[in-house]
Amino acid sequence: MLLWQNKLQDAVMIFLSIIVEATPFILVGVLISAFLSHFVAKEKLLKIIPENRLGAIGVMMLFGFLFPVCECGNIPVARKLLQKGVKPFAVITFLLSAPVLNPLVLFATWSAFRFMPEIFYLRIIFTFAIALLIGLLMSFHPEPKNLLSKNFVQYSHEHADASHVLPLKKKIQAFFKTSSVEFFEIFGVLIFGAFLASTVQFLIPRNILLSLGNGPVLSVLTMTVFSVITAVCSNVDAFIALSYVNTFTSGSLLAFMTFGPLIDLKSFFMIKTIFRSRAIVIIYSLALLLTLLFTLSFNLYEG
Amino acid sequence: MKDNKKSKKSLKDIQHSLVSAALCLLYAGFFLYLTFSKKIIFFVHPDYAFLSPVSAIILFLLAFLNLFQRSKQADCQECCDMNLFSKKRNMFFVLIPLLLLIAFPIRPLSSATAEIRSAGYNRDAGLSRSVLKTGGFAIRSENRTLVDWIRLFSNDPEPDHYKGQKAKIIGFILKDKSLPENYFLISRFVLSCCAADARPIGIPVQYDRQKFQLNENDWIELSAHFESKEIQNQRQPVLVMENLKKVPIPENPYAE
Repeated sequence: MLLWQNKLQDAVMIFLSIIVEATPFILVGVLISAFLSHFVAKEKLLKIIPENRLGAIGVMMLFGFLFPVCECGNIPVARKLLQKGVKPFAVITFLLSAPVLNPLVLFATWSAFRFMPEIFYLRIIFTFAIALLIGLLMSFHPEPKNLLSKNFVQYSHEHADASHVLPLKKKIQAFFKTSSVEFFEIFGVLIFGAFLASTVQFLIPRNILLSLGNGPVLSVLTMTVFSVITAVCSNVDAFIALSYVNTFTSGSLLAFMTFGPLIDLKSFFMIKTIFRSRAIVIIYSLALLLTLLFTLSFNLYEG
Repeated sequence: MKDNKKSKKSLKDIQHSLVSAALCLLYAGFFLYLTFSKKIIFFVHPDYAFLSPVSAIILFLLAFLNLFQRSKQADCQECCDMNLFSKKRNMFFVLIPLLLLIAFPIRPLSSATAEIRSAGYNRDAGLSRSVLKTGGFAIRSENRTLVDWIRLFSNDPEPDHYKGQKAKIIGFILKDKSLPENYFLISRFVLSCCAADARPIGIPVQYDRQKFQLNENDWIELSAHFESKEIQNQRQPVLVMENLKKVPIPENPYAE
């Protein structure tokens, strides 16, 4: 078979594998989101979240801990939280902490890095710090509504809280309807992201990227780019990081596991359904800078 | 006038429900097909394969309830009509994976991917969770898989320790440009999660170019023994081919 045929075929396989792998998590996320939409009253939800900033951030992190979904599943949940009136900074905290600070991911990280417990603890600490700092910063935003995309605000306006208006049977029907509508909206965006990720994987060959550097600084940058391109689920990224233990610095593995779950080529477009581009750039540049700061200082301290 | 408007709206709603239901059914079929044909293993790590039938069940449920709901839509206007399906573009996106599944033969990743992801035969094997499993020396040498061997090498890299040991390995043929001409790699991909993170592993095999005609990407069962050779100024365990048999693609073509 010709080389380009092989390449095309492999790109299709990688594209489909991202879809096949992410879809179950999106489905679960969508079901949770629809449940929030129809069975949890706005007032009750807002009552749980404290008025003060730190309290709200703490509760959102706990919230993230309770949902065993990775970054794909979190996005429908985040959308629903915003529609229910949860403040944007609290939802940003949720989006930044939930992909890592949840039992499944922590368990996977622990099983992969049992022999290097500092990696396990630092992954938790770094993610926690990033979510806390950015959440806190965003809580001082004077016009939080401006963080959200226009389409999303309009959509939320049209689809206000639906938890109290219907009898149970109708509620269940509406639950499934919302689920399928939201599923296909996010699914469409996932497909675009998966397409981009599988294409870029062939445009930027991994062996070239990874040969760029394993010095204390360059390795961190390389692994950060790698995490964005690879676009894998945070549930398993610890195992991928593990396979680079002998070739890459510990700081770079931490960068891979800290920044990777927050955003990648596949989730970027899903996040874009919620936030304005400018807000995304600010939030994720900050997250990137903090990741680099933490992991580079770790490398310097270690080395 | 008002009634007319209302019925128009509900007609649109029925259409919408039907389209949603049809899409859900199609994708439920997509996941069922992957599950029952066992081709799901070509895409994701076996540990995550169970998620595929779970998705199918959820999608069936969504499809069924969308159909069921068609007659009594009117009450839930506020939660239903998103402008999603008025956008043809979105509709098209959603169909792409299905079309690709039909248009392309499903087969494991090939040398094209191996080429752009380091084969890593002479450095860290890039094994992931299999590192955590036991095995290796406890297994008789003929029964060791490619992964078992590579795991042994990373524990004990001394090539002389493997001299003369017999090996019987199933993998695909990968011609690595960094190897001399009478060598190929007996190779497999290792998955952590899905094909997107697959990394190739392999052991160099020396063979008689007159005697054997080899095609890249063919799946073979290789009978060989180990010798210690120097390739690119590095002593390493190398297989010397005794025989090979073409085999069909294994049920799980990737190494776990």
